[in-house]
Amino acid sequence: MNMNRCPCNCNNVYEKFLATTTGESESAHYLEETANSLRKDLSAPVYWGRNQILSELAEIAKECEQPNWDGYGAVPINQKTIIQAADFLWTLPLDLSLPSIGAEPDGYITFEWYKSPNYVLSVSIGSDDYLHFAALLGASKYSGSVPFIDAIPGEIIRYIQKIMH
Amino acid sequence: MVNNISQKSIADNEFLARFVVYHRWIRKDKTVKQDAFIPCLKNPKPELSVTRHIKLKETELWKIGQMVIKMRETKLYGRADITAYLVRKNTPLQIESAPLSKNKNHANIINWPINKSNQKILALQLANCARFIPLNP
Repeated sequence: MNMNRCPCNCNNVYEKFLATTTGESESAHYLEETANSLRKDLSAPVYWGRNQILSELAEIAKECEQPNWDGYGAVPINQKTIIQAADFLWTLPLDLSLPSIGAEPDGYITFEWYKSPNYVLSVSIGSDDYLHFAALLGASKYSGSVPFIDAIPGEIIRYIQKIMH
Repeated sequence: MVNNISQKSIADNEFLARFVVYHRWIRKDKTVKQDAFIPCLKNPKPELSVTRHIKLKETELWKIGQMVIKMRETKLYGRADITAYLVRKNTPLQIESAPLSKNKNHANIINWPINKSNQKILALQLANCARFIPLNP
């Protein structure tokens, strides 16, 4: 694929993303491999949104890298959390809507699927290999923690589908 | 500002302000995400910093918000207001007056569970009850 023709300017996106984690560490090599494999598939329109959200993840890594980034004593977002969050995004099934992305003061990245104040799912991902979630589905509320190893658990997928449909 | 703001008892009808200092805490429809209400990890127990409105003029309240952001280079986007009543009605959380030298109206929302997902559902409920007031509407 000719990266220069890619309309989403993904070459710059990934350079920017990698710039937040360059180094000789294992995580830096992992990110580079991930980005390289992404570049092969970036001609598909379905990946354009993912490029954008990965760019946002790189921005968050910068915005929240200092202690007390929120003025209330927030914990910095660490490198492993960023890598876990990137893995989560790339593991999301392609037929699902993409979330909005954020950060919590205790050092977690959040992914939110939102339809209205009473239909919302928030998933937190940190460096602990778990997905912590909370959801409001009308009058019902749900919360829990599920392991995140190779794939996003079906429980999370079902909540996303309930929110968005 | 009331002179004796150190009063411990926080009435149900008091408004509490959670200053919004990170743009990603606000949705496009100007509601607040649960991210803004996740407590800070404080030893020994997590707590959420808020400011009581009580007897403060709007300008005084915003001055306190500006002071929060002076601690680092960030921007004040607004605040999320919630009443003490809604905190107590919808969650098992408690509110404790905790005046600071630079903020006599400071309080903490306490009694958070340690479990992350339990914290999230409470934060989600608080966010759902809060109203976002932008700094510059």
